[in-house]
Amino acid sequence: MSIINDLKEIIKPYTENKIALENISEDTDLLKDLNINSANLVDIVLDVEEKFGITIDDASMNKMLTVKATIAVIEEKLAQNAG
Amino acid sequence: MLGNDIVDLQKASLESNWRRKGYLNKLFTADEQEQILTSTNPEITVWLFWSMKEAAYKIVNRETEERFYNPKRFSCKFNGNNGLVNFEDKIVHTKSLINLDFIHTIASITSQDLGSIQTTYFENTHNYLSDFNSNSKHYVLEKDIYGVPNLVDKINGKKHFASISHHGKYLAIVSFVIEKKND
Repeated sequence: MSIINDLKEIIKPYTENKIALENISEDTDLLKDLNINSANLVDIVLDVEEKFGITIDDASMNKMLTVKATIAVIEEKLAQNAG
Repeated sequence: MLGNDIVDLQKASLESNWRRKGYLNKLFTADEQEQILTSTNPEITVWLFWSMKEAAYKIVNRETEERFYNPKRFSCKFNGNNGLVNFEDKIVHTKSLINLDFIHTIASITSQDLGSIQTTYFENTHNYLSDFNSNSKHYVLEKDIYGVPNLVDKINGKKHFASISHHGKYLAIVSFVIEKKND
């Protein structure tokens, strides 16, 4: 299962925009395209931490507004864990 | 420059569990967390701080044109009935209205400007722009290609900053120039 599919499952409860979620891609913007409330972005960050067993620091969370940036953060933290 | 943020308290309590492990720690400074946990109504304090941070973010975002998600970079303090939000070397002044339905925070760079901010509340519907414009004698509310709102004077075309926030059932439009409804 790719990271984007896991991310799609994580995001599901926080968006009412099911069509945009079905069409999720690296270019999807969590706030603008999926209309996720900014107070729920932190839930996605916490869910990502739990799902992938990583810790997301503030500087990384700072960037997590798009699917692309979120995947980059997950990959970076997974690589740090492995290394 | 001005900003604003509105929190629908019923929606917030349904959709956010601020007691969730790690939640407060990701969004609030140590000092804010202590104030939240020792306040008589922690939930209201959570959303009050949150709306202060969001209103201040809107000013910073508009000035820098940079998007980011890092609420701890905004640290909130109360200053009598008003608030102060620190972002790096910038201070944003805020004032909040709290009732049973929502918390609404307005923000500006100077405390004098805060008193000049005019707010109009609407139901949060898709046609709020036309609702606003059909009630407005002197200004047209427009969004530019980046979604940034301005009030445009119908006579001389001058643009004035506006800020829009919406959440749940509520929508607020603020500017320095919105006319009173009975003008």
